[in-house]
Amino acid sequence: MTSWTNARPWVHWAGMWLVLLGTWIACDRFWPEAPWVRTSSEPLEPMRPLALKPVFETRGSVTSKHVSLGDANRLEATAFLDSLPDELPPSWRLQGRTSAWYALAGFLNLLPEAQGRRVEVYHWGDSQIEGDRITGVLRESWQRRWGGRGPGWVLPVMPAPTAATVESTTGTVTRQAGFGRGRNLEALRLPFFATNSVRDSARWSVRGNGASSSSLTGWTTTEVWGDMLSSIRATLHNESGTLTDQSLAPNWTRWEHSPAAHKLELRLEATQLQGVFLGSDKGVLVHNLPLRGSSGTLFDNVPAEDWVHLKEHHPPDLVLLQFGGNAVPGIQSPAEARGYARRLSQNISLLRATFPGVPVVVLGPSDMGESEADYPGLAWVVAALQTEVSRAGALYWDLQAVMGGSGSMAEWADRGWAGSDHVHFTRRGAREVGRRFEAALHHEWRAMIRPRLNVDAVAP
Amino acid sequence: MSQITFTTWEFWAAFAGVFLTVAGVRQILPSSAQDPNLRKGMLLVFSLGLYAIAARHLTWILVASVAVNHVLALAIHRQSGVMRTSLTALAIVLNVAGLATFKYAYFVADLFPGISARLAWGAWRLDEWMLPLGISFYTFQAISYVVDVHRNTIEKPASFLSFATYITFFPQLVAGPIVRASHFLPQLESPKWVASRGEDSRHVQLILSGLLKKVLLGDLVGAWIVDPAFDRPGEWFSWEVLLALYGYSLQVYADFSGYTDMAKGMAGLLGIHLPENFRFPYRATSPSEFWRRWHMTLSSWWKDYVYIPLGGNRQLSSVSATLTLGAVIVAAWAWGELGGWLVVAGGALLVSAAMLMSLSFSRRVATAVNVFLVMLVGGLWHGAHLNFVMWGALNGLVLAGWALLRRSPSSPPLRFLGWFVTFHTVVFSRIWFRAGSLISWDESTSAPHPERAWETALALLHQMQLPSPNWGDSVWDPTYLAGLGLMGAGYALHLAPASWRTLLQEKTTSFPMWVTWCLWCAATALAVWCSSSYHKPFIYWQF
Repeated sequence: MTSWTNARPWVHWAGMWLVLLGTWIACDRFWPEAPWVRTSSEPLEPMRPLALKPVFETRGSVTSKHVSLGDANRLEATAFLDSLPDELPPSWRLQGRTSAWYALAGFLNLLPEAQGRRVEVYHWGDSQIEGDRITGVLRESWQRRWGGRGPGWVLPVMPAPTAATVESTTGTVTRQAGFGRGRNLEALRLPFFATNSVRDSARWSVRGNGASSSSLTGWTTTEVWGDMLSSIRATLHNESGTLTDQSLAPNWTRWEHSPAAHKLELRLEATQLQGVFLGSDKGVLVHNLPLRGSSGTLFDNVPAEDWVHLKEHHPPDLVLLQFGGNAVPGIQSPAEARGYARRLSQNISLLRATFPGVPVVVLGPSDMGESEADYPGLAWVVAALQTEVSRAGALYWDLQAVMGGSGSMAEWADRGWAGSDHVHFTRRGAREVGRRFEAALHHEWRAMIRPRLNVDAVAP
Repeated sequence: MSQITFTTWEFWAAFAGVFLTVAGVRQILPSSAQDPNLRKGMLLVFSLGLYAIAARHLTWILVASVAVNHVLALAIHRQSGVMRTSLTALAIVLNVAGLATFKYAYFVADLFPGISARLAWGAWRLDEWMLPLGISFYTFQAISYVVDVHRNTIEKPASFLSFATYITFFPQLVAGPIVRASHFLPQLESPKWVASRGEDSRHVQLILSGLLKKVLLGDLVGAWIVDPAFDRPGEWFSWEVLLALYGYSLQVYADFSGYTDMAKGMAGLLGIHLPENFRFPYRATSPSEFWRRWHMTLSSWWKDYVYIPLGGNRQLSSVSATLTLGAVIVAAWAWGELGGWLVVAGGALLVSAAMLMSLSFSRRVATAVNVFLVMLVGGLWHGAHLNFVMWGALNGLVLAGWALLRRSPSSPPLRFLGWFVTFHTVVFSRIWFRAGSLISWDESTSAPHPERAWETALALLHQMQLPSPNWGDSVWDPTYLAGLGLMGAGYALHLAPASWRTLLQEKTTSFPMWVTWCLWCAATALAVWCSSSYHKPFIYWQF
């Protein structure tokens, strides 16, 4: 070796480069990949077995919101759904820990009570629920069965027009979002994580879209929430004329009116709106709250006073979170997926601490792209969400599995249930997702509530 | 080979070809036939060839820059008086205009979305001509050359072949170090075409240590600690964001100094000495010391060609005074109230009065203002984005404040305080620096887009203010822990006493040849293995 390396310099250098480049190419070609290199087909960790569902006692209280179930026949008549098969496909079922099922049972118990009180469902999600998609299906079905009127929270300017209302605006109303492109942290206000503001003057009128659902019209409670509202003039109309015409209090105004209103008209001047509530004091209210571009990790950034207000005036009875789709394209490793899932679960914990006993259900990201290779992070995100959502005490509904698993989005697009971007559902697809989610809840209702109902009904 | 990148074997195979060709020709030719021009020609051909592979249709910009600057330098040398000054000014304006067109047009397009499309002219689209590789570096070398000719620092302009070889010399063409002609050109005339047998080990070691620095401390720390936090700041706890900032400071140092080490090693093998570019910058105990240790060739360039012409530490030039007055007016206007106007105007008047009364204070203010202006422009040089302007302004403010205090810490506690402030100024100002390459989400398509650098920097700052939950809630997975370990090791090596490093170097150079070769192969294998998953371009290539 020594004599060879003492040869003419050129030979020495040629040998040196040969050895170094040979080592490089050999390692590049033949060495196994580093252990941290993963492919999308390898989830973060083995899928955890789903938590066993609670076995409900046939007698006694099972929930923190125990209610009397009343007349068995009445409840049977108002059963959740009638048209779906008894046996739910396993992949459609909710996943989570026992405590989460108890919380859900509390919500399901409340539904029969909705004729005497208001039951509110908050559906926060990304662009997948824009335009009242999925939410509208749930609202229509539940309001038909359990009562309740109105679309819930609305705003003049949303990222996409909602099918729940018919609106007209004159003047300039601008939307500031606390998330997504051009985010403004000061606009991170409940319930939309965004505000609408008017610098000069504008006029906005809104009515429920009876073409979508008859229960959207004729609401009996109106509220306006925001800042500097005293300059607003509000007029409520019903079919025969004006119900009321009045100025608003600075931050929050609420009217209960009878007969029901069909149209609200606001004359806005130098003001900032957080939300306008069009609903009722009884029945089920399902709020469609789309946060386009968000991954659902900003709940703990919202000012505390907004949570206090919401808890005081509109406490949720069920929270649905439909996020993850915006995180998937940027996820490059299982660690990042877990980081995202933990951040989301931190937000779930905040919701559960703010509204004790209220069930939180996370609807995971849909299948995306034409093949698994399009979004390698999807499998990691789903695996991480299954683990972390469950740990945070919420239930997880695996939308990708519900759709048919990896690669199913292409089939949904072929059926006209998803758009050509292979990410977003069409209205028909959203209706299908809504029905399947409703079926999953119905399945829980059958498992948890009906057995008790039957026993109670035959009890002396 | 689609890219001229130092982390692919294809590049090193090409370099080995260049090196062995130059060495072989030198060895074969008799001494009388060893014309330096032959060596220059080989280096020029190889340099342009490698550049053309990477920059493709933008190569003509480099060629045009070489031709124009050579002609102007010759003209400057022949003229005197006003004509000489005018030609120098013309050369500077043309160079800056070239930089502005091909680099900062992007800035304009970023500020005014859609302008890029409107600037399309037939098949000619602005965005296809943006950011030619290394334009910031070779433009600055060209400016320094014509100014040096004007100042007679270079007595006689170089031949076209020498000048072209100087500008295009491939080891440092893309990201420096920025070499002065007076340092580089004489080496081209040297009879030593390649390193001697005694020196080659040092250069190969420099290349391999640079590669390991880049891959282990740059890419892996970046991928495991930095990128996740910057890509989705809302999903990380405050102290994780802080660790990401520390990680980024190590990453950018390891990435850039690793590149410089490799460039110096390659140049050394080809018989060219490149100047030092880093001297353990994170050991600096004052902001001014930091900039004397970080990217030294650029700092020195700013000092000689911008800072001193602006008045340096002696006076405010008319340019500085005008810019400062403009800044004062903008500050008053931005305040937007009469009270604000009065405060700004009153403050400016008070400072002016104090400057008139005290020569010492006047010089301090001149230093502060000039250094701030240099950092502001320096920020813009780094990137065509408001984030980089903000980064330059923050560092400029700290440097200006330091210049006003003008006290070097002497006692150990003060030195520690100086180090702490300096280090954290650098770390936190890089929020804006790093955020420039972020990916966030497009509302309309739910697709990633890179346009939210400013908002993401604010989001990171906001995230750092949120209370953190328990440590147990963090992402303690193996890669994150490994990243933290690498980061700790990197900072420990950086901050370790210089004598330890010297000792280590002495030990390694005393090994028998076969041990050295085995170590080199092991280092190569480690670098290749670690870079298999996270293959990142050099950070400073984008500048």
